[in-house]
Amino acid sequence: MSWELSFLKPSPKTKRLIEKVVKIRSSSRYEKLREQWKSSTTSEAEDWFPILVGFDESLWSRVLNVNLIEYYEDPEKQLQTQLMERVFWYQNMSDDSLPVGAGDYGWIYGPVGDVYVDFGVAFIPSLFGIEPVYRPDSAVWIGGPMRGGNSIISSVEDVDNLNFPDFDKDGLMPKAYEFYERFNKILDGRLTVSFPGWTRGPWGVAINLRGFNDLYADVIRQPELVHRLMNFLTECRIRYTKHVLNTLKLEISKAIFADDDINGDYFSRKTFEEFILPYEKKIADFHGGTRYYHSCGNMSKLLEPLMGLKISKLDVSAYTDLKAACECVDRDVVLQKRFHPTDVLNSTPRQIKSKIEEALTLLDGRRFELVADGFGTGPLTKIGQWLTTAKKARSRRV
Amino acid sequence: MSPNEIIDKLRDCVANLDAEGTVRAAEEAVKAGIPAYEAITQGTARGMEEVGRKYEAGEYFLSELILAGEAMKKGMAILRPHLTKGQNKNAGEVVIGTVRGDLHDIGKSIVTSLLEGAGFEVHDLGVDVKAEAFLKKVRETNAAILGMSSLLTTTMHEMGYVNSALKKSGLRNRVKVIAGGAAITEGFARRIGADAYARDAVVGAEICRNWTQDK
Repeated sequence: MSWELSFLKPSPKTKRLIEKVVKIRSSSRYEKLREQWKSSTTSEAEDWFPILVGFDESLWSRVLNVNLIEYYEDPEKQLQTQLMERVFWYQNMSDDSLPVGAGDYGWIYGPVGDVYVDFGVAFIPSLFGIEPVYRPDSAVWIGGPMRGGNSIISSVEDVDNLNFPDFDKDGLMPKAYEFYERFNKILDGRLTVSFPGWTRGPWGVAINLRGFNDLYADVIRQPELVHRLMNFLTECRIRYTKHVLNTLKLEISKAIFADDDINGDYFSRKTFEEFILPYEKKIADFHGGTRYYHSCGNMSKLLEPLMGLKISKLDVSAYTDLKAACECVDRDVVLQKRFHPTDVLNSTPRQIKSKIEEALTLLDGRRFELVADGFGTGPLTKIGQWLTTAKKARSRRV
Repeated sequence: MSPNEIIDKLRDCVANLDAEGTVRAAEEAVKAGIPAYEAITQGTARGMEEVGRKYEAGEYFLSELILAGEAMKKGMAILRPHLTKGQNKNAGEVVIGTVRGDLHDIGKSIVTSLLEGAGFEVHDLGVDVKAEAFLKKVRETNAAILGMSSLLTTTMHEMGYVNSALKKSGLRNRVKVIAGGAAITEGFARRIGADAYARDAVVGAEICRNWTQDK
């Protein structure tokens, strides 16, 4: 065997982890969970609802003692880390997540791999030449105008002169293919792998390209620039999706929108309907609907127009009025009620209980999930406390 | 145009987000011999107050805040050199930054432009700011307010660390501490010993204005 080939062989540690995760995937606990998810998504509202918890990258980095620069640089390290996460989760967390074997169920609908190639929020901006900012102990971040750099766009002409990215060569794309290939080679079909999807909405990417203040000023000063940029990015996302599906021989599934920049505290409903929604709608129509819509922002006044995206599951962030969501979101949409991580970490058990009960009262009769995630820090006992309280509340309903 | 009309024009131009009009009105104020202090306090500052009111009422959003901040800054650049010696002081000095480990810039920058618009001299330390850097800047300046932002639960505890460091170095009594950012809740701000919690940029700027007016 040549030196190169032996270099590409997975380490014994990776092999051990794969064995463990494959076993976990078919464990009776996860089999049961899969069935529960399946029945909760196929039947009418019932008493069982998923309770979900999630860490962010910095907490993972500390829990598993992983250097995140290596995670984003080295495919085997990234795979190994995700496998370690799956093992840790199975052994320590008793929520209803299905980190492996979720398939069409779990946190988001539609095909989800057991592991995934991950370049975080930096992936899409990288296609437009914006450098990622790596740090050892937190998620990759976006450079360019988001870090005080100059934007390459300042006029309508600049937008018109933008070229569509080369979806084989630009930004992190070659690295994404390399990671995907390497993951698949190592896993040899034993676990499934997801390629990075373009899940960010055009508004968030427009902010990354143009700069936050400038784009917001453009809404009033240069509305035509905003429209053209949004149109360009919408077209880019559709082209990207077609290219990736074609290259990897995959089927199209409904759209995911994950865009924390959609926030009704930042702009009016009118602005949303004029500058953002039509472009998201074009994307949703291309995908045949939206399987999951997420924003950490306050969505209260945007909920009604959002229904035009034919959403299956909607994140109701900690800033969004849950009552409003229950009132104006179509009943066939699953509401993912999200709790603020700082609230969870800083509340007394009694406060946690009361907040969960309050949410359950409002959500009664609907299909929903309770989520506490985004934890960048512990203590884990506090997260466990939230989980136990939510589970107790659920057991009282069943 | 009478002096009062020029001052009203200054106010209205800022409130209507008209940067060029603000510049013209500021130039007219200087030309008409209107004391710069009066043009600022009765004109541009009132315009910003109107912007704040409209924001609170849901008529204005971030786009308007950003444009009003720009108009105010441009007007101030013309008026400030004409302040007399005794008047040539700011509403106060503020040291501001996003805490160590956190690269989020947006919310903090909006607070900065609103504070500048309200006449504060703002020492913006940027993002990923260590406690030592906050302390150093507080020592170097006459800042009476220290503003900290954090968007991540990982980094929010840094705010408590900065507050402790201020206490240890004897600087805590010199500054009021205000904390904001998506990771922060009012309860958390209280727990780390901040004097105030800013749920958004406008509220943050308003609290700072109230603190300095109370003095």
